[in-house]
Amino acid sequence: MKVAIISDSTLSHFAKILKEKALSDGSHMDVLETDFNVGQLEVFDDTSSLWRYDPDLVFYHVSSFNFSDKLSELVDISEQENFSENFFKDHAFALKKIVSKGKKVVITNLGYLPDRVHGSMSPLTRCEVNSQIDLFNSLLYSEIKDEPLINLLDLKYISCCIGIRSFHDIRFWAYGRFPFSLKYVKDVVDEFLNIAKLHLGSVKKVIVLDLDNTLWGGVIGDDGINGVEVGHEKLGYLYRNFQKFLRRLKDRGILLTISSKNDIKNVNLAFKEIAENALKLEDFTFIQANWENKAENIVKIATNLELSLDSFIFLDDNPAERELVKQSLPQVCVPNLGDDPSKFIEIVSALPVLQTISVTAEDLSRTELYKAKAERKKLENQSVNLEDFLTSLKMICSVENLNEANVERAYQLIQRSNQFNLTTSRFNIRDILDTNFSSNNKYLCRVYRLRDKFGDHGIISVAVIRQENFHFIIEEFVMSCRVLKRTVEQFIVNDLIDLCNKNNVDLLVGKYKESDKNSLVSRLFLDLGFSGLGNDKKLKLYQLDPKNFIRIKSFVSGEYDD
Amino acid sequence: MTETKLDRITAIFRDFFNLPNIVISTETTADDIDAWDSLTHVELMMALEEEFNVRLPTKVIMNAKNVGDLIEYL
Repeated sequence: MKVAIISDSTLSHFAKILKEKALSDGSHMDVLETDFNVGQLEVFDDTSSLWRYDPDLVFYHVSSFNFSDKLSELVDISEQENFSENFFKDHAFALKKIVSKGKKVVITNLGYLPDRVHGSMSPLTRCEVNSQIDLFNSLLYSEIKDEPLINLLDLKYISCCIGIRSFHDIRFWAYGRFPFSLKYVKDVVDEFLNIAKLHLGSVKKVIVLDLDNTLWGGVIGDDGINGVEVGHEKLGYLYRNFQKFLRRLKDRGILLTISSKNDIKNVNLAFKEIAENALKLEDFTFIQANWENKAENIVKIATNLELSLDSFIFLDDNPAERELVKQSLPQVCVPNLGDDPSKFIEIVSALPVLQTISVTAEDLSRTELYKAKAERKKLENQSVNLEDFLTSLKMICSVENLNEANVERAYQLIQRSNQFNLTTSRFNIRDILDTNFSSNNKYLCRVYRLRDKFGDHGIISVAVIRQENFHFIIEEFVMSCRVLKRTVEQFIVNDLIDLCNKNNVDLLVGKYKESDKNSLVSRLFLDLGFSGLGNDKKLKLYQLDPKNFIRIKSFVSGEYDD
Repeated sequence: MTETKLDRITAIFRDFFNLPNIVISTETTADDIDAWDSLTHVELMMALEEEFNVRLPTKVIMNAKNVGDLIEYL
């Protein structure tokens, strides 16, 4: 993975530790550190070292000290009060530019500084540095909230956890423009790596929970529903608090499951009868209550949910259970939960595997496709140049002949497409398949799948070709409108021409039959370089000479099964 | 007292610069150690602060000419 660092301060240590940590994690990270303060300029220069480097991910950092230095240069109070808006504008432009290149960005927010001049009243005063930092951060959040290519690295949270005085150690800023104490660079690197990993793949998302002494205090089988601790006071409060926390994770899209050494009757009873339980039975996707070993139970859960084990997090107060799972299922994340419920939330919150790159509920199975589509749309709107955008999509079309595996989806596409459908003849391609491409079979059917950097679209286009003497006639050509305007049709014509040439065909004929819904493609063949071949009102014919055809520009690359 | 401090400092230098045999004296300066540059300098100061559990005054971090200058603050 190639990471470019853009910052207004010295992040050499960050870069160094990042490389080391990535290496020890088994992933390789190549890092470009743009020159201090010049990075932002490089963003706007298309020929800069930044863009020649072509990073996969941009780490964009703005330092609180630099922010404060600039703010404190201002003498005029109203200028001070409007500082963050003006300061933010430059960065917003830079971010837009990076996103228009299709690059992912991880940006830090600003952490507080120890200085204040109005004592405890400082937060009420707009010209205070920390008030301006708050303003900057809210501008930043609203800018990136709906931008899937930009992720936040919550530096403010890290600095608060550590303590703002030690985190922002001004000695190092003075010495060499180091934006935060070198002691804590590793904390920032860790957070960054956790976010970066999400872009590399596996996002863990199933929590397997123990019950007794994890979700409530005591043992339900022994203590009974009136004996376990969960509620509003003392230990019970902490367990209930943990349950509420888990419920919020569930609302975020993480699946909750149970693996408990218990009688299932007791488990059902506990959730039904103990009103203080914040979690209800229906909050769990899968419940295993039995006396078998927990590693086996987790495997069962994984099999049932059809998820790989590296999506699993196991939470249990019992060190022996944790050890067993750790040893038998090393892919599963097993944090050292301990048995003190006051620490549970803190421990789970700190799990890198619970990082997310999106703040919306991520029911991946259902919404992924739509989300990816929205991302593309958005990207397209912001893209400075359509060709850059199309290139950045890294589209790959895999070309197949009709076969048992693709016929159903291809058939459905032909039946359902109305707009991008050249003849609306609803050709029954099952018949072509049934004749099994015999030598007498005059039909040929091409099936196109498309995938891009955002995901797989599946089968998006079908073309049915009939051979007549030395002509190929496109009897049916349908395409899913989801992939319109992405030069897929250009790619397909290139493919058909190749097919013609392979079969020594001297003419490719296109047909357009007007329907109520297909005016979208009334000019398609002309746009693709065909010439009119005569027509009557309803049926227009077009032709193309494959031998003298110059390939049309397309941003889709091909992958062939023949 | 200076002796033991110097031993601890030597241990840190050896570990930090990965030079297991280097001899450190109060006269040792950045010029004597190739890897001791402005970037490693701050890291080295952090390592010393951690070992001795002190906060070095900024002027020492910025102006220390040799190990001897550091010792009295550790």
